[in-house]
This record gives sequence, structure tokens and C-alpha cells, in this order.
Amino acid sequence: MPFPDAIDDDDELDVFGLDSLAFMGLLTAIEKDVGFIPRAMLEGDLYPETFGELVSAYDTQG
Amino acid sequence: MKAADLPQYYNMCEILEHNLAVRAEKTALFSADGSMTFLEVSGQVNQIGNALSRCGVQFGDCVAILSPDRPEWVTSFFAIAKIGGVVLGMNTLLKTAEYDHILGDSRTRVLIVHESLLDIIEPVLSNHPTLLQVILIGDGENSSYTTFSNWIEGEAKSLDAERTHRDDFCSLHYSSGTTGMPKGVLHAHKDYPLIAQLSGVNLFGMTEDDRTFSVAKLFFVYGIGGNLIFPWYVGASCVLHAGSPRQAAAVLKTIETFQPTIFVSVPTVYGAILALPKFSERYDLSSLRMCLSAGEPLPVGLWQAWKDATELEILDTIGCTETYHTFMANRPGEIRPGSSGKPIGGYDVRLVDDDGNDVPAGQVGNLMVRGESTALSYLHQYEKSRHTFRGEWLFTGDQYQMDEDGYYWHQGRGDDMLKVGGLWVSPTEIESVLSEHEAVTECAVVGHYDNAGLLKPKAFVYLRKDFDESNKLLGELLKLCAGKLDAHKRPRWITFVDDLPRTATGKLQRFKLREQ
Repeated sequence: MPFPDAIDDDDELDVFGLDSLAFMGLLTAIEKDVGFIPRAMLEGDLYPETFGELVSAYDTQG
Repeated sequence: MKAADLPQYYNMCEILEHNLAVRAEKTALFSADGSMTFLEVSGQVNQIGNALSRCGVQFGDCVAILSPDRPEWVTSFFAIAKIGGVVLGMNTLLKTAEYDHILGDSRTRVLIVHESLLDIIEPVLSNHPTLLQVILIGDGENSSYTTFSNWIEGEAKSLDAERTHRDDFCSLHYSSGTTGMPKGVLHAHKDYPLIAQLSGVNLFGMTEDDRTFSVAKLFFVYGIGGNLIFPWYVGASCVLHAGSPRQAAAVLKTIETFQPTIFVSVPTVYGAILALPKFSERYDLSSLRMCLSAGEPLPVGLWQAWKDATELEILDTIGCTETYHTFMANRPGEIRPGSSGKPIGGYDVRLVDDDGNDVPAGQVGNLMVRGESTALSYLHQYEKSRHTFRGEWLFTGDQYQMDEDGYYWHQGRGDDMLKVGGLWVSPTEIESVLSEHEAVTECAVVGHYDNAGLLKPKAFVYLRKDFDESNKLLGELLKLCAGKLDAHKRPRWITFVDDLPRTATGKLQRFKLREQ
């Protein structure tokens, strides 16, 4: 299912079908592009709930 | 082991307390929120029991726990049972209206709630005059509720167990129904040692050297059985994880940190872990000796991928809230991937047609199960109870086929219910939410397999003529579902259709949608 055109920072990830499996698939896809998964996520300390938090996690470590 | 082998007067708190004589100083539970020895657990159990009695809780009263998996959950659980109360471990994933129903249906007397979950249940607390007290797990800052630590402070660490009959009820579990609100299933003190012996010892071979870790939370019978009752029955330890099982990385980190030997998990989490490349190199999983799965059928692809990555074979099992735990399983060394294995000792199963006649091997039939840990009925659900509890036999609603070697293969459901991530989902509930949108004329929801072979809800939506399908509309429908449905109930796919297939009499033909 495609993402809708408009996604806000406050939109929750699992609204768009990003359950645990799909979320891990998304991280893996991003890792292929940017070369890393934020350490806080790998350590289990951070699980972003929104798109804004997801982007912020990469901005912080990137 | 039979129920009659137990003392007539038996309190399931014995599963904790038998450890005091031989391993009081052993760590009973590990968690990021602190670890506790069996002696420390017992002391806190007694304090809580005394505090509950001081609140006015009496034999048979229901006390609810709404909390992530933390030490307080465990100590409260045994305390309630020890004083003869009925423990209600509430599902932390529900909506406010469902909590309202459960509080009323159970006539809960005391609610022990973690501060992170207070907001979702607080709006309906005043609806329940039977509720005597609310206890808050957390620091309680800016709250008028008594905090857990203040509540038990000063209470004695000794307490005599209530002289409960082995058949007295000690726990109440709510399970989603095909329509309407969750239905309650009562289990007795005897059910706990029964499942521990039949599954924990006889099937899984747990010993006191084991350490269990479950992604299935303690409010699930699968979680509390595998990660509390079984290990403590044999003197082993358990690892509690308060976080969401959706956080696969946190699950892996917990294994690396606490080094469990037995991993109690579900297909969705195995799939999520496998989606992380080189996970077994990123994390040290070498402590694991056994992996279990339940909640929904484990696809062969996931089973093989897990074995390839870890060299561990997952034991796929099936159980249900009504039987409390496993009644059919694959056994170590006798695994047939994709099957649910064979009935375990203490349980019998039958496959019957719609008239109740047994079907031969190779034919699909309705699965019936018989065993001493089976509940007697649903609370306040006379008609549903008559349909499900048929004398000695429980009608599971699952359809199975037995092969010539005696292995059972899941073939779907006899009703429209879906098992998603180990949780029941009613298509009707999703359809009613989607239908609230002004653009929707009618809709239908069926199960659809994702890339990992796991079943998820898929919605087919027929729009009103003055609306066109668009990504904007798709987003509105997804957000509508997110606001009104638990995460596992939300459709993963929404397809716009020109009409829905129906019979000449207007009955929806879901099987045609499943084929699309």
C-alpha cells in the first residue's frame, strides 16, 4: 500500500502499516542508503513512534 | 499428572513458595526495572496481600493489574491469588471503552495500574462503584492516587495463604470475541500446576537451570505460562521486558543482556528480527537453547530462515485462553515445519464435521480439544458458552487437517475471525470503523498474507459515487482506523473496489475477496 501524499512529523508510523516487521524492513532499506541504523535504535533505547521522531533519530546521529 | 493428584486444598502461590525452602536467595526474575530473589518476591507478595486485605478485598473478589511487564505485576499476581482473590491481568493494548466493559463485567474491586496507562482507563473509573481503590505504579507525581510503594510500605512480610480449593477460580482472562466486547475466561488454581507440568516439564523439558524470556506479555496466557509459571514451577528464573514486542532491536538487546535459555515468542516477532540483516552477528544470542512460537501459525519460510540464522529450531505450538496454554505442539527432534505438531500428554483432540461426526485423516474438520486445564464457561456469556464448551470438549473454531503421521495442519477458521500477531481480530469491528467515513458506502475485511506469510487485515472499500479514490482519501481512512482501532486491528492494505461480491440473497462472499 503506498504512503499517502501528505505525511506530517506527528503522524504515527503504525498508522501506515509500519508494524514491527515492516518497520524493521524500513530501517534495513534506509541502512542501504545511508549506511547505518541509529545506535539508539539498535540498543533498543529508542523506538520512534512518529515520522518526525524517525527522521530526528537519523539527523542526530548522521 | 491429573488434577486429582493435587491436594484438594491448593493455592497456586505454592508455585512461588516451594522455591523458598531450596533456593530463596536465587534470582527469580531479571528486569531492567530491577531483579528480585525468590525471598524478595515472597516478601513483597505478602505485603501486597496484606494491603489488599486492608482495602477490603475478600475471597473471590477480582483485582485487576494494568501494567507493562514489571516486578510489581508479578508480585501483585501471586498476592491476589494467595489471599483467594481473582487476578485480572488486563491487556495493555485496549481502548478505553473495552476497559470500561471489563471493569464492569469483572466487578473489579481494586485496580493496580502503571502510570503510563492511567490516562486510557481513568476516564471510565468513575463508572464503577464496585471499585474500592486504585493503586498507581510509578512515582505518582501530581496524582491523587496512592502509589504502589506507599501502599505496601509498613505491611508485614508474612501472610498465610487462603485455604483455597484447587477448583476455586483464581484468574480471569479476557479474549476478543467475534462481535462485541471481550469475553472473560475463568481459570482455577489447579490449572497452573497442570499446565506447568504438562507443557513446561513434560513437553519443553524446563529445569531449574533455565532462564525464560517472553515477548508475549504476562497478560497473555501464553506469556504468563511460558515466562512465569513454568520457570518458577521448576525453580528457574524469568526475564521481564517492559517494552513493546514491536521493538525487535530491544528484544534482541534484552536477550544479549540477560542471556535467557528459552525464548518464548510469536511469528510476527521472529519475522521482525529476521528482517534485520545479520541480526545474529549484531547481537549475542548464544545463550538460547530453545525457541517457542504460538499465537498464530508459523510459516515454514520463517521457521527455516530462523534455523539458518541461529541453528535453533522453533517449536511451533497451539493453545488458547480457554485451555490456558499449549494442547498441541511440535516436539524437539520431531518437528514438522508448518504444522502445529501433535496433541501433548494430558490433552485429546478430535476433528469433526459440522454435524459433530469425526472426519478421517486427510480431511478438514473443526478442532475440538479436551483436557483438565480447560475453563468451564465464559463469564456472563451463556449462549457463547453453550456453543464453545461442549461437555468435556472445547470447540476451538479452528479448522485442521491431520496427516497420516498424526501431525495437525491449520486450515483456517470456521468463522471470519483473524489471528493477527497472536491476537484475535473481528472483521466486523474494522468494517464498522471504516463505514463511519462519509466516502464509504460499504466495505469488507478479510485476512491477507504479507511477504513473511503472516495474516493481516485487508480492507475492500466501495466508495460513494461522489468520491474518487485518492491517496488523500487513503490517508483519511488509515488515520480513522488508527484513532479507533488497536494497532493489530488496523488494515495493512486498503483496496478500492467497484462492488463487493455477494450471493443472490445478498450475503457477502468473503472467500472471493480472499482469493483476490
